[in-house]
Amino acid sequence: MGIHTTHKNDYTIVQVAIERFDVVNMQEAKDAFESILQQNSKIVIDMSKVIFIDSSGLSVLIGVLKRLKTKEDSMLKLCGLNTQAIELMEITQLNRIFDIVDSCDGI
Amino acid sequence: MYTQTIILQTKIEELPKLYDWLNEQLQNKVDEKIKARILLVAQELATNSMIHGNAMDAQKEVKIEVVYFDSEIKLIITDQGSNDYSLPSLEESLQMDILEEGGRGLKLAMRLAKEIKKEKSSLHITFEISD
Repeated sequence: MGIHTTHKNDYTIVQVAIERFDVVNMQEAKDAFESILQQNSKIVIDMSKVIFIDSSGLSVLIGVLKRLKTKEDSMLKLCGLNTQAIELMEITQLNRIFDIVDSCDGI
Repeated sequence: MYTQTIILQTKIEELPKLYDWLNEQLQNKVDEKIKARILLVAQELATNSMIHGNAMDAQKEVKIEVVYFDSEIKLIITDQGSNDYSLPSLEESLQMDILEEGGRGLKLAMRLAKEIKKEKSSLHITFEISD
C-alpha cells in the first residue's frame, strides 16, 4: 500500500503515494491510517502524489479527521492537493473543515 | 455525433479500466477541468451501478457509453439491476452532510454534471464541454 510515514518535529507526515485514491483502494487506505492513528495525533497528509480522488478517498480523509477530533492535542493538515481534489473539497465544503495548505514544503 | 462503449464486469477492481479508457478517450477533446469532472462522475456512478444496481453480482455487467456532440458530452451508464431508486434533487444534493463518510457519489455527480436523467436501467449524464 502506498501510504508512508515520516516524522518531522512533532508531526507525522503521511504521504499518500497512490495516483488514484479511490474506492478501489479505500479499505487498504483506511487500515493504513487506522494503524498510523493508533500512535500519532499530529498528522500532515501529503497528497502531492494523488492525481485523482473520489468520494471514497474523501471518506477516508473524513474518517481520519473524525478520529483525530476524539484525541487530545491533535492536529491535521492536508497539503499538496491538485486542482481536482481542491474542486472536490470546495463542492463538498470540506475546505471549511480541513486545514488545507498549498505546499508540503516548509511543514 | 458518435459513441464509444466499454463494458465492465461487476467488480470494483474493474474500475481502473474505466478510468484509463475514459482518460484516453477524452484526451484533447475537453479541457483538464472538464475531463476531471467526467472521470469522477463516471467512476462514482459506475461504482453505484455495481454496488446498488447489480448488487455486486459478478455475473452482471455495467455498460458505459460516451456520446460526443458538438458542445456536449453525454455518459450513459447502464446496469442490470432493478433500479428501484430515485435521483436526489439538486436541492438535496446541496444539503450534503459535510462530515458524512458515505453516500456522496450520486450527490457529487448531481453537482458536477449539467444534467442527469434516469431512464429505466440507465443514467444519462450530460456535460458541457466548455466550462
